[in-house]
Order: sequence, then C-alpha cells, then structure tokens
Amino acid sequence: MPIPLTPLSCAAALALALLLPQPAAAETILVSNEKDNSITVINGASLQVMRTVPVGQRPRGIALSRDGKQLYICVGDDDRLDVLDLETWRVTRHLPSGSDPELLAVHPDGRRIFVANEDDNLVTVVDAQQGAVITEIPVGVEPEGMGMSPDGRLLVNTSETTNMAHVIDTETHDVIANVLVGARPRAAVWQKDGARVWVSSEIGGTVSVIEAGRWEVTGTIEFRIPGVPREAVQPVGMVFSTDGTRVFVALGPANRVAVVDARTLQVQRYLLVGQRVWNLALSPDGQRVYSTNGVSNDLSVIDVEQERVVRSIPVGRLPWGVVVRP
Amino acid sequence: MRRASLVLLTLLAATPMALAASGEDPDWPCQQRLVPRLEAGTLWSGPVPPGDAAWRDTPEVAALVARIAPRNVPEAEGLDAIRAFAASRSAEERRRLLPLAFAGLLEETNRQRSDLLARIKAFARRQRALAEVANRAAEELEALPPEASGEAAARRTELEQRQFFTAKAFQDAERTVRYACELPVRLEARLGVFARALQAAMPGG
Repeated sequence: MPIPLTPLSCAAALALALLLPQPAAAETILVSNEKDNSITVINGASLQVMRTVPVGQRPRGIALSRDGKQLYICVGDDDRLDVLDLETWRVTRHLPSGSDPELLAVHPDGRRIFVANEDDNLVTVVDAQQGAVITEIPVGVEPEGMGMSPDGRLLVNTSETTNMAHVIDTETHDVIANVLVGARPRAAVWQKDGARVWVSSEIGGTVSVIEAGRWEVTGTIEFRIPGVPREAVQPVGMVFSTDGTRVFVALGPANRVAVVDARTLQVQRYLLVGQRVWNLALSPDGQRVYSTNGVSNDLSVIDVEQERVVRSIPVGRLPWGVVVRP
Repeated sequence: MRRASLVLLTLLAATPMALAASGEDPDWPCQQRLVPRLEAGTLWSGPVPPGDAAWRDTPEVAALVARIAPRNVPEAEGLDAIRAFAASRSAEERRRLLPLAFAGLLEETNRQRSDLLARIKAFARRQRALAEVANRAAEELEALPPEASGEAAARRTELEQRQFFTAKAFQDAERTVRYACELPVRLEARLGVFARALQAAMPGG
C-alpha cells in the first residue's frame, strides 16, 4: 500500500529520525524470514528496507563471514547453507551442512563453520573454502544454540530435547563436558572475557549462567512480568551490551525483552516489543539492539542507553535471525 | 491402500508421543503451542486495563470495538478508525478511553479465538476417529485368510474400500489443518497491530 507523504508526516519522520541515535557509519541489518524464504536488508542509518533477497527454503540461522563480505544462511528445508554475497546481493555458493541446519557459528579462523543439524543430533563442521564437510560431532537430541567462545577454542551447543549444553573442543572435536540446564535450551552466548556462558531455556522460562572450566550452573535468572502468564515467558535470543554489564534477553510470546544486570543477575526492566520476539543483535556501535518478532512480522529497534523501543520496521513473514554488518 | 493404512498407523503412533513431550492438550493438532487465552500483559505496557465490563458501559468505546473487532474488517480500516477516535479526544480522554478500547478488543478477540480453537480441536478429534476406523479395518483385513473366497472375499473387498475412503478423507482434511492452525496466530497478530496503535496514541506513548 503506498503511504501518502504529506508535509506533516515528512516533518514527523524527520523529527523522529533526529531523535534516534545515529550510527557512526551506515550499518546494514540483515533479517532471515523463515516463511518467505528471503533475507530483508535494512539500512541502519535510515532504518528503511533497502531490498529483499530470495534465498533457499526455511532460512533461520544467519552469520557473517569474518571479512563481513558474505552472509552464511542455514536453509533448513534445502539441507544446505546458502552463501549470500553482500555486494551483488546474490546467492553465489551453496555449502554442505548436513540435514536440517538451524543455527551456525563461524570460527575465528574464518574457515570453519559449525552447524547444528536439528533433526540429526549432530553438529557438522564445514570448511567454507573447500566447500566440504570436515567432520560430524554427535550431540544430544535436537541440537540448537551454537555459542563460540571468544578465543574460538570451545563451542557450546544446546540440545532442545536432552536439555543440555554440550561443550565441544573445536580442535579435537570432542565433547568435553555436558551441563544440564532448564527445559528446551535455545541460545548459548559467551561473555566477552570467556569466563561464563549464558544459556536460555524456552520451556523452563529461565537463563542458566554456566562457569567455564568448572562447567557448572552458578546462577539462574527467572522472569516475572506482571499480567503475563508464566508459560508465555520463553527466553530465546540473548545479546550483551558492548561493555558487558547488561544482557538483553528475548522472551518469546511474552513480547518482552528483559534487561538483566550481568553482575547481579537481576532483571532491571522489561521492554514491550513486537509479538513473539525471537532473536537479538547489537549494533556495532553498541547503541541499539534489534529484535525479530515472528508473529507481528517486524523488527523492533531498542535504544540501549534509554532502554526504550524507538521503532518497528515491517519485514518478511516469520522473521527469525538477525545480524548487523558494520 | 496398504500405504495409506501405514500412514495412518504412523500418525496414530507418533502424535500422542509428540504431544506428551510438549505437555499439551492431546486434542491440539497444531505445531504452534496452544495458548488458550491472550492476556493483556503480553500486549500492553503500563497499568493493565480493567478486564470487566467497563468498556461495554462506555458507549463510544463499545462502538469503536463493535466496528473494528470483527475479523472481516481489514487491518488498515481498523487502524484508521483508531487514529480518528484518538485524534478527536483530549489527552485526559485518551488516557482513560484507549486502555478500555484495548480491553474490549482483547475480549472480542479472545471470544473469536475460543471459537476457532474449539473448532480446531473438534477437527482433531474427528481425524482421530477416522484413523481408528481405518486401523480397525486394517486389523480385520490382516485377520482374514489371504486366499479367501465367497463371503470372506466379499468382506475383504468391503474392508479394503472402507480403508481406502477413510484414509482419503483423513489425508484431504489433514491438508487443511496447517491452514487452520495459522488462523489463531493471525488473530493474535491483528490484535497486536491494534494494541500498538492504541498504545502509540496514548499521551506520551
């Protein structure tokens, strides 16, 4: 539907644009639309959708290549990874991924990609240059979250049905520890200092904080939102603020993003975003958090400093993953 | 026909297990989690609007709700009505009336959703009954001697036909379930659109 541009609405848009924190350089926000088989490309400065790129079937997990020139996309129903060139906006290559890839993590060496195969109970290690599978690592049932440690030495994979976080040595490909967490674990996110890894549990409604090395849960975060039934609180995506003092946690059909103090593990605030909020990404300058909302089919823009939702951007159907290219 | 019965048997075997794992209603056939009621707190920030009949007793709010709550009213039309409603009112009126309008839309949406959920569950029960009929026919067929003649042969043909048509009815209906399962989500999304418009029109919203 064309939106008539009256002088008033232009002025309002300009005023709103001036109120928003402006990113230092134009960043690009990339969103995978699970139901539309596409990637929405948004200009981070104008917050306008620049283009929508068709990709393989059921795109979910996405990650940038180390040089930021390509986007790796798990296209689950095609049993492969699509490689999207971010200059030409074309899928230039496919990579093998094993069956039903859902999420992935790129190793700091830029060469190896670790892929969770949801219906095969495997983590597949792929060589991005050779376009070949290096090995397959057996893990628990329905592998999901993929958290690469900052130094690239360890990968934490969660398994939805086994309710565990599996710690994998990325050199030997051995599982060196299994940690029991809340029901249906989803995301695994490392602190920048590598001391702890945070795991969200969708059905358990909690976030478990695991101490690296000891491989024990040393803290658990619970979420209570007035007027929201407990079962609607389903923690999924997480992201740390740049200084590491706060963690933003997407709470699924509670339609809230929780702001958690990373030291005290106390929830400071709940922000109302779009419906069924799933995954989060931080802008490179640390000023914004973006959330994909699977029922309202939009991307919410959160101002980190003010802890306020400042904008909603319509994207494709069932938006799932989000990354930001500097 | 043998394949059709295999499909049914597999469905019967797999469904209760999958449902037990997710702890949901055994009559709920959808992949989406069963959410019996939408709650105000998931869509509204700030004080939760009163859930009683207050919105019905406020004629201008009741009129707005009656106009835009029906499912066949396009979203854009609903949004226009909300904006027009808000534009003609003072900040104090908006602070008082818009949460009431949300409460009304929530109640109406929940009413429509309950009907839908009941229909989807009835559909799932009917499917299970069909699967049972097909399975019984399959069991009876297995019990019949393969080289049957006369009355037994006639019985075999009848059973095979029953199994075929039951399986066909089951599979045809199964194709529509995925679509039906989307409808509650769409209602929820529609309510979300209206809730955000109401919230945006609140003073300081």
